[in-house]
Amino acid sequence: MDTKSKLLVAAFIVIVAAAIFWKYDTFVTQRDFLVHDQVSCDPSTESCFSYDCDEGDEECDAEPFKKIRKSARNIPLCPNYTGGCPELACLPGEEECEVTYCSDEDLEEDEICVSSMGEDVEPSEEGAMTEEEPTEE
Amino acid sequence: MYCYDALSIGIYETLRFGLFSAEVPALIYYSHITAVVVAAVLSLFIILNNRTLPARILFVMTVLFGLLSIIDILLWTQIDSRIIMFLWSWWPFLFVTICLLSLYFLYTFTAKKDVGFMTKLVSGLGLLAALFLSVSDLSLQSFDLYNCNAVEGFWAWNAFYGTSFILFLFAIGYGIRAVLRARDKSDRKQAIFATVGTACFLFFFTAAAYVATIANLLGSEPEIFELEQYGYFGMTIFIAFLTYIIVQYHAFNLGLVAAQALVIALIIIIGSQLTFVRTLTNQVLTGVALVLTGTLGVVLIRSVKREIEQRKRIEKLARELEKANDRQVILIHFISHQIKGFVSKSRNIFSMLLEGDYGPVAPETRPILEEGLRSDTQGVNTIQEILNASNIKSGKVTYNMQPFDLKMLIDEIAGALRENAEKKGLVYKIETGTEPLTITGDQAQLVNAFKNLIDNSIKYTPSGEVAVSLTKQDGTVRFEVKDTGVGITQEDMLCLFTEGGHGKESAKVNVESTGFGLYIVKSIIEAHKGRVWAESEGAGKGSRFIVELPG
Repeated sequence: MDTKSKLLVAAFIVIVAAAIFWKYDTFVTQRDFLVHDQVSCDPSTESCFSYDCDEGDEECDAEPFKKIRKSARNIPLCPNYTGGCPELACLPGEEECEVTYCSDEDLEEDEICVSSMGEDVEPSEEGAMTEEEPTEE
Repeated sequence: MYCYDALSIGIYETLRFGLFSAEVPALIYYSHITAVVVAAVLSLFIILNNRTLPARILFVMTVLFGLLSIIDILLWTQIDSRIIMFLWSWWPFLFVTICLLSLYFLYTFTAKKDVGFMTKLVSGLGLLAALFLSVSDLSLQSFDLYNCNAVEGFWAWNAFYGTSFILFLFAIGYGIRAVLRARDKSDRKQAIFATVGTACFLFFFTAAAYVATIANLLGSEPEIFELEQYGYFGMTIFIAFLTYIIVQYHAFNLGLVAAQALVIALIIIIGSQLTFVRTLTNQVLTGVALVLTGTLGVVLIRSVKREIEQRKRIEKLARELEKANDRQVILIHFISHQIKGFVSKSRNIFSMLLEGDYGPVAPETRPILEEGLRSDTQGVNTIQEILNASNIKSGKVTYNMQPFDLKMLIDEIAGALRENAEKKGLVYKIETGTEPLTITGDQAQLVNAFKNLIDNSIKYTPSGEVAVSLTKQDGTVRFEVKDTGVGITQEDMLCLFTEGGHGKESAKVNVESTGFGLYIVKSIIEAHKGRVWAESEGAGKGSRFIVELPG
């Protein structure tokens, strides 16, 4: 390999190494990414999502849920992997946090809306029922 | 921050060395570990024995492939979204880099040289673009804690797979070019195997990962997402082809090493299963498989060793034989040339004596001088035939192609031989038509060929008829000499046009035959893009020699 090629490879390795450090800092140290999750929902007071399970399908989870999207940096770190971490929720005034309740626009495949325990309802016609926490001024 | 559903199925509790878990589909270990171990062991053996550019590229490629495989396993076993996002962000860049390196390997391996700097610069810029796209928000948009997946950007990931598909097409296109431009049969076969291996790797690797990504984007069943695992078998196929090239064609100057590497890799793979199989039955079965593989591996290595030694011996013998043959050809050529000189001189002396250059010849001496002249003339012709065959074989004969009338030539040759036929009391027919038949060829060489064929027919026909004919049909000139002579047996037919090929029966009739006559005829006719063959119904049933030349 000639000198020019060696320089090219060396420059490339430096760029890749820099990118590794940068992405490690972004994802692991800064936790600069968004997280989606499904959290528990009370159908008696909220419009919840649920999976449209076939009868006898034991693997299907029919628990009502709402969807949450928040910045990973605002999620508290659990002490270990064994669980016991609090469920994700938008804190008052939290930036980049969004809870989505069931609505016609937000339904995905195999999902249905439930408004009271075990009872299917027609999705809301008022559009998205997204609740975004107000930002503190 | 952690995938709670993954926690609930117990991945974390059953995790060993951060990589092995009974909750992860077992296929992932078979596909990834097999490919990584086989590739790593072989490339390590190669790099330790051979530091050429293809060996170094292969080594880097397998190191990156190992890294990618470990990342892939970690994506299945890790439950921390930060780690998963970080690792996932590197997957597409590594994927594109490995695909590019496989193409680079194919080029340097088949072309036996490095690519130009500009190609490297363009490839480097392409990789840089892949790197920026890979670590940008376009590649990974967010993390889905419920499914424990990163949410991939549709266009970015399509760009990665599109790039690798283009590289796959490049590999096929370049491979075909390399096969067509190969210097010899061995290089051609190596190029074929290297291309098929690389193309299989790129195809499996890309297609399986693409299906998995589409399944991920569409939120399909995890079983479809698991299809990605099959892509890693592409590396195993690639390594299998590479091993074949190494063993069969001594690529990288390895032979036995490849077999040893394979056996060691297999032992490591099967042995590694002992770290994650859990039931006693599985552990016993794996143990038995390990022992069997070890035993059969030793047998395989010994067998390959024996075969390699045998082949080296045969190759050495073939080389020595070729050298000896060349020396013998030179010697025969030299001797023939020298003897021809002596016999020619002797013939000239007989000729001068018979012509009375040294005074009148006594009547009782004349028959012996005539016999001497006839014998020496025959001797010169025989030696000349051997020298001609030798010159043709060594490619020393050049053909001076000119248009001429073949009808006139055949009439002249056949006419000159009429006396020989009539001396034997044969019926001699010449039918060459009335129209001139112009062809392009070397007149002097064709005279030798046609004279040889007609002369043979006369010599091998004790009684009956010899008929010479010349016709033209559909742009082909057809010469035929048919006789009612000794005929040709099936056995003799096989060695008829070969070098020094005496037929058993013909040797009884013509003891002076060199066996080179028909070999020379065939070489001359083929040099004129024609063909010559013989037909006979067997011994005593006559024969027919046919020549077809483009008209």
